[in-house]
Amino acid sequence: MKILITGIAGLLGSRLGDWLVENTEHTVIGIDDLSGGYIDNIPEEVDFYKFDLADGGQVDRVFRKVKPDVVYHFAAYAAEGLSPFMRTYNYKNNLISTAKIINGCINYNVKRLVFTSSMAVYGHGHNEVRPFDEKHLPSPIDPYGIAKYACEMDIQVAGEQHGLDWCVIRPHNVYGEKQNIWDKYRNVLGIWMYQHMNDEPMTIFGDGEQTRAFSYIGDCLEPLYKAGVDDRASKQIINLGGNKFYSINEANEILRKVIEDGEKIHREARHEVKDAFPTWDKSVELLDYEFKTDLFEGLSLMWNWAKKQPNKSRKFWETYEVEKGIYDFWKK
Amino acid sequence: MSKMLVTGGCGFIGSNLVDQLIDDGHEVVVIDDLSTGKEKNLNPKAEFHALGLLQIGENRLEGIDTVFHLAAKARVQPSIEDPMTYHNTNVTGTLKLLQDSVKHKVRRFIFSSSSSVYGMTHTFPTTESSTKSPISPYAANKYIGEIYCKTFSEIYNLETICLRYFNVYGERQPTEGAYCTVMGIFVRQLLEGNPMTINGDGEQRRDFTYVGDIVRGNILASTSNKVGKGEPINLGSGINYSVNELASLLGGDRVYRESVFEPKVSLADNKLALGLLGWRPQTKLEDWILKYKKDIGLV
Repeated sequence: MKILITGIAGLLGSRLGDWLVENTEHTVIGIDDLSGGYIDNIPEEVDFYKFDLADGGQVDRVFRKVKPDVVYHFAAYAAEGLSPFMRTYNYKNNLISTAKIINGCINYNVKRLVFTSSMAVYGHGHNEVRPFDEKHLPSPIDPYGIAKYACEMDIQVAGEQHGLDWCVIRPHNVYGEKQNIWDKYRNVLGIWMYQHMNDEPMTIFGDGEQTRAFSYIGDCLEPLYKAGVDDRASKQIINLGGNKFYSINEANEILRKVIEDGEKIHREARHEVKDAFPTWDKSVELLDYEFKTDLFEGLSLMWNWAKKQPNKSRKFWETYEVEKGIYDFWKK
Repeated sequence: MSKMLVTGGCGFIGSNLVDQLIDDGHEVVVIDDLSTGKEKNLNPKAEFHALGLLQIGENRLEGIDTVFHLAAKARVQPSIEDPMTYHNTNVTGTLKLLQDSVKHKVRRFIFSSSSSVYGMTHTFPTTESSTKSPISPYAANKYIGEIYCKTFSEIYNLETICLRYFNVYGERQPTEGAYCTVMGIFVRQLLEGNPMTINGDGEQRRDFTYVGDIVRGNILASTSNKVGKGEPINLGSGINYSVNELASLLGGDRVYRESVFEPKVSLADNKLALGLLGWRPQTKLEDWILKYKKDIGLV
């Protein structure tokens, strides 16, 4: 079978690529524009194309040439907190790109499209109801969550009208080796590692009592594969990830225990969800998810990896689309 | 088919054990922090986690039937320089693994100990009940590990067994780095065209034991129904060679330098291994060296 992965240089893409190469006989084709991922993440066996998905012509050419059976669309710029200050970039990168992928899937008879949405679609939770259940009406609180929700809806529409089979995954906070730790705007655990390696204290926004269900990537790979091939996952929206919830303060303590060093500092609070508390039962029932790796062990694995990484330059934006109301720590 | 955990499964002895377990049809999980182990030694059929002993998470031992605990910071000399790090890895790491094994109802825990627990003993061949007088933090770590194994068998009913290895050699033995044994050092020196350096007069005698025999000892220890209460068992060939004799077997020039503080003789009494495990050493040093020299191009 031919499997196409977008975002092949990112955390989910490169790690699923590794997993497929190691555990299956499938041919893996990858696309990435390397705006957020790194080329050395991509497994050697992958047939790799480098371009920006928003370029529809290129997407069509790859689909025509490859004729993939299953498509995993992971590519996205997942800096949720930054999205209100980078609206058009966010929609182009997350929504327009997905539209091109949907077109490709319809035109070239892809058997299933797996789309990674986000916890961001829940926002604070409809009527503040928790845990976040797949059945609840999404109510995102920022352009990133809105883009992801729009993609989900469009995929379902394509399913109704054009018979496209799909599975939408809403990952809990996934982390692990090969994650981009050089991006200033996303993924708290990676940011802390970067800060510590550069002799800075680890920043916590607000009181640090916001909670997240951090989930180790290694536990998510087989479930992600099943999202693309298992009958149970057809036309399902599934929260994927661990069933243990950590406050940011707890997560920070665990990381400092792993590193056996480090300091923290509290900064002004951001516009963000207090408790991202999702259900996980569907991922167990439909994708055989197992919570094998707790945060301490997963962070140990990630830290062992991070220590060995070359000191890459940190990504930051020269200008923002909106400067009004931007947080002090992102000002230049 | 049962699920086995091998700590240190990328190392010299561990990787040989993993290969055998996989050949025997077991499912194998390997944990190794790659501080001295090499990923290229790792059997591709094993499930691998690049973790230190103190980094293992609370769920990792679920479903494990047997633990082979080989991971350790090895060697006597470096432990003298940094006893605290050695203690943390070798003692606290072992204790944590024992605790996790109890929690997840592991059937049997096989601990890799060392003939160095005997230290400056005067009983030769050395039986398991000979006096233990460790003369390095490394040896002390191993002895404490044994005591914990026995204690855990007593109070938590975890089946444990402690195997005391005597100077192990064989395929994948390290030939460089701080963890290198005398044979590895000699081989490197010969390959580089240098003379073999001998500490002292070279008349110190060592019981050299083949890694394949050690692997078999581990597997017998996992199945024998005569053990499980923390018994210490020597795995040694029962034949010893002076360092000079070893140098002669390898062939080449030698230089002598100052002696280091080390036991004069090691020689295992291996009757208990025969009685409790049905274990007999099968490979002789001189036979293996002949073959090895051909393999690495020394002949």
